[in-house]
Amino acid sequence: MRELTDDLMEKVTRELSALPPVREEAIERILELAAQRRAAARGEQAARSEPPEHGAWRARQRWWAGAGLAAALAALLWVGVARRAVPPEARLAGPGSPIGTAGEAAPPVRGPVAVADPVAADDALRAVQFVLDAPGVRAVAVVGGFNDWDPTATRLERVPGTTVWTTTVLLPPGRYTYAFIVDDSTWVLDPRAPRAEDPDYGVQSSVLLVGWE
Amino acid sequence: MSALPASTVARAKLGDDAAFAEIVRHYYPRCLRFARNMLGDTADAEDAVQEAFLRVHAALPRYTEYGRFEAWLFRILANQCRTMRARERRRGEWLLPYEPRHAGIAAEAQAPHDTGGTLLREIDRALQELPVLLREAFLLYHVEGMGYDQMMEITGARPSALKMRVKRARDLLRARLREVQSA
Repeated sequence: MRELTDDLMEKVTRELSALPPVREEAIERILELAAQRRAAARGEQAARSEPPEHGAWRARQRWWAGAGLAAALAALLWVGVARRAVPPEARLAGPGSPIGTAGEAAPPVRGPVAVADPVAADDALRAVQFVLDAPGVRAVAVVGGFNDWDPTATRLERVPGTTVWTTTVLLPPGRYTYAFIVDDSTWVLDPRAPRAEDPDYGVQSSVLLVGWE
Repeated sequence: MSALPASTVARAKLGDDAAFAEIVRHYYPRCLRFARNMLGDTADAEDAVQEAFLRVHAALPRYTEYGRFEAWLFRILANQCRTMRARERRRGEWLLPYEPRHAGIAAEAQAPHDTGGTLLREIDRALQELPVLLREAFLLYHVEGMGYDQMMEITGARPSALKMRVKRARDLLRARLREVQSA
């Protein structure tokens, strides 16, 4: 505890410094969950690292690497196109947007898109594009586990001349829950993305899988 | 509290479950205290600490900030506390009923003619009324005993800003509690 100049503040810090009672079962729960997650991760890793045949695996790796790069470039080009013009008829009725994949014919408006080499190294970052068509709003942000649900961390930018808002973030592989925050106040789910309920809070979020191609 | 040997973190990084358990047992009480003071609720604090340790566990293989484990752990925990606060605000549930710090204090607070218990309750209330950044800076400095360099690693704010936050938190707490005492 730091030196304080008055008795009142000394009392405050003394009371706040008392260590709370610790429930042993809470610690055991953490260790149990950590062990479960490690086992699950090892299982996934083992499943991923079973090449059908060494030579074919290498060839496939090279093919996918090329395809992944091409897909990334195509997506970047598409973003440029989307920034220039999104026809009004392509807009969704709701505030969300559909999901596509890098290899599909590009629709004018899409949801979060993982643009990545499907057999890249496990920790490689993937470019993920979030898009929301939201007419008549002033600001859009995306919040999720990847930015600690901080509504100031990841703002979307409006594509000039349209009602489409977009941003691209780099994410490591994993499962993320997210939502859009419109006008700093309204929680909006992506209508085309899967949803999950937060067991602790009972609220729903959209779900994004990155690197699980 | 004695520092955890650097070798424990190194072993945990390599996947040694016993070393990770050692880390959890070593830091859990302090983490719970910090989260409880940040969130004002013991159950929420336990959730935040659990999630923080699970994030640490998942990120340990990529951990490279050797010698600064404590700051790293508290950075993750502080983020988790902010996240939980933000969620509560969004859900309009931040006006949760006051929960006494723990059973002992609850009993003390309920004792007749016990001004000490009242002060404890008011300390908790006044702390929760502080803006989150001020509360965080005050707790890290005065309760967790961290230096401004370490606080900078945890919060990302400059030492000059952190000093202002600590001072402002102290001033607000003092004013609030004096107001209560004189009432």
